[in-house]
Amino acid sequence: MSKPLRSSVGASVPENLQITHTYVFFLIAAMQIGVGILSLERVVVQTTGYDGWISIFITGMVLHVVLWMMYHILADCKGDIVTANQLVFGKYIGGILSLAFSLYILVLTLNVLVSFIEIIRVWVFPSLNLWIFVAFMIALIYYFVVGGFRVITGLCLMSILIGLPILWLKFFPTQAGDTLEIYPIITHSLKEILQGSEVTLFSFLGMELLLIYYPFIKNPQASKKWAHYGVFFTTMIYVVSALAVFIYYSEEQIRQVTWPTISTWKIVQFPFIERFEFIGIAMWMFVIMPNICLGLWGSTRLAKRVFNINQTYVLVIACIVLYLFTGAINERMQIKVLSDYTGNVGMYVYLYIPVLFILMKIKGRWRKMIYE
Amino acid sequence: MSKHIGWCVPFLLIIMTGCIPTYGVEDNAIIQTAGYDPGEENEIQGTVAIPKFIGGEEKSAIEEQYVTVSASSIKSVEDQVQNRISQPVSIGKLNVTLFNEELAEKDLGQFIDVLSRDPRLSRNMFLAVTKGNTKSIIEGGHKKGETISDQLTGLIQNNMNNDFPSTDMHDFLSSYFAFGKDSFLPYLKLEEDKIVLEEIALFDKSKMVATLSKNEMFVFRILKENFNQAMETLNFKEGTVVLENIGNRVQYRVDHRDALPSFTIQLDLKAVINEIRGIEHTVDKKLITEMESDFETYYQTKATEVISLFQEKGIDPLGLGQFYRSRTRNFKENEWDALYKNIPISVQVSVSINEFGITT
Amino acid sequence: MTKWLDKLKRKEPLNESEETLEDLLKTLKKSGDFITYSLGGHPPCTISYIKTLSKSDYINDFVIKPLKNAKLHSLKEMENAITVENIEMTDELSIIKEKIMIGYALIQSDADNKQVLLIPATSFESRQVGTAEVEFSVVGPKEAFVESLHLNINLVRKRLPLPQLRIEEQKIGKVTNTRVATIFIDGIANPDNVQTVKQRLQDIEYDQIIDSSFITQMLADNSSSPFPQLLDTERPDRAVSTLVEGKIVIIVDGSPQALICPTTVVEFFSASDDYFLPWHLATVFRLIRLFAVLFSVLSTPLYVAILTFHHEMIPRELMATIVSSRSDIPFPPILEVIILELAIELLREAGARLPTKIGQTIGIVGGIVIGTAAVDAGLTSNVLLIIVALSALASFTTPVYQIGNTIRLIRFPFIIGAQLWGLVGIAMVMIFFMGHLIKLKSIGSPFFEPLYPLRIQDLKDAFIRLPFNIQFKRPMLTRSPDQSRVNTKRVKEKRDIDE
Repeated sequence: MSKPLRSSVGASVPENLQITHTYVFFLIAAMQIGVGILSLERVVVQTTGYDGWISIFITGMVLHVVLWMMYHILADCKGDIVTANQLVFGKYIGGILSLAFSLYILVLTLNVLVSFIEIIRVWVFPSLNLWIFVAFMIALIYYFVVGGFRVITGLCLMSILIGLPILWLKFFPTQAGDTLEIYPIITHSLKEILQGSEVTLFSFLGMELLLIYYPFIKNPQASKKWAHYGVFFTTMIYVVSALAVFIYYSEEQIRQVTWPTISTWKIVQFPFIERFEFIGIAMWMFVIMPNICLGLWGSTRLAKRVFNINQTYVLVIACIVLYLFTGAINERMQIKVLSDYTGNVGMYVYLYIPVLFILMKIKGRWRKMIYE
Repeated sequence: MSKHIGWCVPFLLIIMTGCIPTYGVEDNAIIQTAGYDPGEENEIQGTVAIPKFIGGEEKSAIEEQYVTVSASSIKSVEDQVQNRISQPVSIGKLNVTLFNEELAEKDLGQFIDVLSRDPRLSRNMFLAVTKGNTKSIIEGGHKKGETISDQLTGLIQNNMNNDFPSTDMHDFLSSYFAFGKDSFLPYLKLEEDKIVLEEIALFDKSKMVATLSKNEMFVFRILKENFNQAMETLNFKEGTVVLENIGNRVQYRVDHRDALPSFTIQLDLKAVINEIRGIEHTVDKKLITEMESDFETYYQTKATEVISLFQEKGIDPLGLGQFYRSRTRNFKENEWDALYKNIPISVQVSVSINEFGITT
Repeated sequence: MTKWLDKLKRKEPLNESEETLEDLLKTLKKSGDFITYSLGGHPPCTISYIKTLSKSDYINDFVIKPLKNAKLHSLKEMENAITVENIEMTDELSIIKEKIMIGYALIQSDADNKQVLLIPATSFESRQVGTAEVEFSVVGPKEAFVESLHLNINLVRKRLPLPQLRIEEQKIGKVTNTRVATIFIDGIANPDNVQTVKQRLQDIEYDQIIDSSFITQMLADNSSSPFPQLLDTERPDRAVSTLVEGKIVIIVDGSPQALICPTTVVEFFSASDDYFLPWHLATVFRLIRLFAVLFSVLSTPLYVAILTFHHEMIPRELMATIVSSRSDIPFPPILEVIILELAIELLREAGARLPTKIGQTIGIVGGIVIGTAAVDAGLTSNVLLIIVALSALASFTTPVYQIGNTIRLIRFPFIIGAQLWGLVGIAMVMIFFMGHLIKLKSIGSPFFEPLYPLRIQDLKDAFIRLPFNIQFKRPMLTRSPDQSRVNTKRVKEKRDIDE
């Protein structure tokens, strides 16, 4: 018999704040799908060519394994990442690791916001007044995050419901293109395909927030299934989206296009309206909003858990930080550096999860042995 | 709470008035057509057409304003146009871009680069090559109630429902960038004061190298894509027959058992007879069979002619290279160009005439 | 400002100054319609009542006549002599005061100093039950609630001959002492919801409750929200149908509108007609109504956004129409829109304030004359005029008046958003309102249900209305203890062909 592991204050959540396990699907999918998908195809083509969709698929499959590990970690420690870190690494090192994780999520959030604003500036308003626009965005984000986790979950749900119709726009490029470009399948070496997987990981980031909101799930065991569905859903969306784009463009052409998906929206036309990229970009706000809100919530929640302080204060500080950085980062090169950096750190986070998983298992074994 | 809202309102108003300079749609000079001609000393001469919509009772009266400038680059054409016009220039609705034949024969590289990058441009835009000055086409084309862009778009769109293969900027760019595929554009000319689209300009990468005539255009289209429109007049015996295509199917096959791959193009054409002139025979099953075999040989020779033209010029508007690549593992891209000119390509045509002699 | 509010809170309006019955009678005597006279007899007794609240002839026939002729010595004997039911004998001042104020007659006897008799003689003067005007429907019941609580409850009761129907009355408002009835069906309504409603009603601290809309605003979970969080209806049939779903109805005396809670945002867009028509027709009409709402809110903002920022989106063929209609207008689209929207709002307000006949005339004069004149004068474009008129028309399709007002209002933030950042601005405002709706609660139940929380089961009567024989269950929103609507044993089994 193993002794129930101790859980620190705040790890348990009152029932009226918890969410039903099915929403994990929306939380995972909505957090993964963000600005990444808009440029995913170009990024993956640079390493893997038109076999890129295989790379995307492989990344998705690997993430299922990581998700499985995350659930094991969380089930073993009966808490969130903070409890897990404390158990494995002790109070101080664990705390530092949790804070680093919090910082990483804040950077991830910043990256989403910055990339989206870049898209607006390139496609819609070249002379956008950044400071005022960002102020409004942040105010909106603050309003939602203050509403708590349930409201953010609602946003995730709505973003999937509203974002899905945008994907129908992918139908138009498949009509205009030619499937010849994709064949023959698998012309690249395994190494190239795996390299492609590595760069696509950036678009899949966001799943790791499960480590934070796990205590908010009413029936965590039942949510497992839905989390896997969520990852699978994202993978399928990415693969289908990539295939649609590959059909439309020729391989050399796609390297020239920074946001292939937005460019394909351009060709959609109806008798009363054309040039759907404006609508698409505007609607994309529904897709990135839960990204930013959940990220900000997760990052501040970690700070609250580590220091045991009021989350509202942390949120205000985080909002100000976000505001200042978003206003300051406005050049193409800076944004590129930021997303490369975020992608790399994300890579390490996904390497860190298996390590934590193994350490957790060893610790559990060891405990068991002692008590026996 | 109400106190906060109180100071929000003036704040909002300030932002609203001072944020982004705004114009209504009518305050823009909306360029709908642009044409590029060679200018003096490596400069290019750009001509743009800007429609003026007149309000009030007579809506049909549309005036157009033409501006011609000379500049060293495409972007500076836009800039220079702005210098000559009282309203802000908007190129988001650019519908048709014309290139002078001379420019196209030299190189369209720099144009392609700009066209594929500018996010303001529509991907559904039509591109075309003109015989002679684009300026004279743009300025001469204005008819009552129709802008030049209406006319050109209408012309190209209509022909795409007939015997012209589908084309727009995206098709052009994607075959320009694609491996083993070359692009083509409509070739326009001015006859008296009518704009005529009867030929196709064929490109080798960004250079125009050949044209296809009216008759070859139909053959080119049935070789390139499946479609179900277009009429063609053919000679048969002592008279003529008007054939209407009601659905063709084209299939490429490649045989790479030998070192040199060989292509077979299988072409099935379903057609109806629309009009028969100057033929004495009564139309019956026998005559139809005769017609079918006659047309089969006709199309076979025509198609072979067109394809040998392509091979001779080293261009591949049918995308055989792309097709070959998609069917071949370990394909070597650098060897293809040399290979292409010598590949045997056979065309097999089967014509079936479904309906004839129906009177209504 | 808060200090001032605190002061206001602490003060009790109208101190209880009357200490004794004599004091009370003295206060009352200052009013002209308070009648007191001695009936004589041994020992002498007096009768007093408020003339304007009580039925004088009734008192005369059933109270005064039996007392005049008989020799009665105590109140007890009098009580037996009077042939009126529900006579009360009490000495408690608060009860006496309360009853007198609703039209009871008071009998004092010198023999019994403390005790008095209270005889119910309230006159229920009220408007006759009329037809529903705000929520008119062509088919279905025509009766509407009136201002009398008594009559209103009668309208509900006679549709629900059910012993489990519970009616609980509370008195709210320091000064008005308004009677508020909470109606629900025991065993179907969720007791937690009932408890919440009763608790919130009790917590109301205000001097006057003039209409049920006061209660709406005071019961709301978020009182700063532009969305009404309690559904109001003037149709007894609608009230009853929600009762059966497990919801709670609140009826306020003096108000012809009943309140329904908990409710959801989609319920505001469902009309009673939806249930009187076959389900496919009802579904189509409901969808049209929802589309109308979207159109009403978004059409003018889209006009501003597209004409100011994204004219690339206008197809070539449409360009000529729009540009030529705008070419003479001196204002930017935003000003044009604001002028016209304000004009429409003006017309609407004027139409609402004026008597029906003049109101109609104003509407026609305003709509046609001002509209055409504005276009002729080149102040607005006729394209916009069509859009604004249509969106105004569309906003009238909402079956509930309250939400119509909301839609009128929230159009303006959208217009501002459109002017700021075009479509992106519209999307921002849209997200704000969506998040706001997600946050909102109606008596503790999610207001954005069945979208969030996503309840597939409740979707069958939200945006669409499926046939009754599919709706086996009560809405999950009410968390009713008795979920099943039908006796499942009796539900017809599926039949094969030719059986």
